[in-house]
Amino acid sequence: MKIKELKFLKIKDPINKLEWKKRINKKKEKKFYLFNAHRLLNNNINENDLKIVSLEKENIITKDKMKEMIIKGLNALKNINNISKEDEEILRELGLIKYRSEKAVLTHSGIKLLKLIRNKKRRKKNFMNY
Amino acid sequence: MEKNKYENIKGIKHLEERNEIERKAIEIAINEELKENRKIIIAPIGECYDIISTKESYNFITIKEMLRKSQISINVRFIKVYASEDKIDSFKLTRREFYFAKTIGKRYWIYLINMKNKKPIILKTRSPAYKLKYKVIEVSPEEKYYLFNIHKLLGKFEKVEEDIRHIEVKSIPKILKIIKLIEKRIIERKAIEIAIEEERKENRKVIVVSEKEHYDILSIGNNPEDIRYIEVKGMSKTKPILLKEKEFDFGKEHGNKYWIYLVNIIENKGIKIFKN
Repeated sequence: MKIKELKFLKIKDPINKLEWKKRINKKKEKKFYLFNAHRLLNNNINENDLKIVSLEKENIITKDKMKEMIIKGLNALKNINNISKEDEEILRELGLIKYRSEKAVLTHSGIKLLKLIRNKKRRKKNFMNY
Repeated sequence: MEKNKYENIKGIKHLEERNEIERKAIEIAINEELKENRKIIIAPIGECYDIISTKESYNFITIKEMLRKSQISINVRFIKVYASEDKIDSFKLTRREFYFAKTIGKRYWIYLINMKNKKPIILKTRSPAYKLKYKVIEVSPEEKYYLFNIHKLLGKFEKVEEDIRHIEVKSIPKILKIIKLIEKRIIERKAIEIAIEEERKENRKVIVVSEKEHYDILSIGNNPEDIRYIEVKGMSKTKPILLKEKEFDFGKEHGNKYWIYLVNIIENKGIKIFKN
């Protein structure tokens, strides 16, 4: 089956039907399995195992839109103590806050990003070498 | 410049020695410093810095004396201002400036000011000699300069600069890393939304379990045995699909019930690999 355009692919039983490459991250001692979409072209995969659904235009995100969202999110994060409900929603969408027993709390990446934006002083190092 | 506002600025006469762009840029930098209630001394031409910004009020001579004795407070900022009416890709320091920056370390600041827009973009860097990568370019054995290329760091940040003006250059690579993660998350979330929609079109029940299980969606059909364990992968580029070991093992175990949904929701010019 030839695929001309990749929009939305549903692959049934991909592990056994496709050839996967094994990768090992030695530092973290973790295994990963990779499959390159190139190979879908050459693979003998049945039409029953592969469905192509074309996406509606509303569902497509542009890069500009994504950037806009991130900028809004970063600005909301800057004024984290005083944010509107809209901002809260954006931060939630970006995964910078989550709700714990109905209270909004910063996620791990939210805290990291906030620290960078506020530019908190890190440990003092000796830069003075004179 | 309004005289009242800048009454406390010392060395204001040195501002007149500069050309127009430099003068404007220095004024912008001064305004930035005044927002933090700092005191300003404008340095004459020929120094390794353009402005000295301090918390307490000092003279230019006392500062020089303190420099000589190496007793300068960490709160003093020696600011070099670079201005441009175009996008700033790089800036360079002369050998003298570079060694000065190295000796005073954290006290040396560089302000890059892009005055192309109505609202100027300011980027601040602290201790550039330690924090940023640079190339040494030798013009002659006696003359060297140090080129700092910021193009790579800021390539993705054109728009963000305008809104978050006070981010220091040194932290931008880290921010970019997190932003990439956020982008990934947006794509993944959107992809899951689309996958759910698609499943519902087929009259299937959908439960999102991405936080608890090794797959994202559990989809149940009319027949209770008709179960799909769906892993959703959003794709922004033509990167390979990556499965973790546990996801892979889970998929192997469940065979026909395991599905991967690949969603390419980022609008690109077209995916080259699929052109015949």
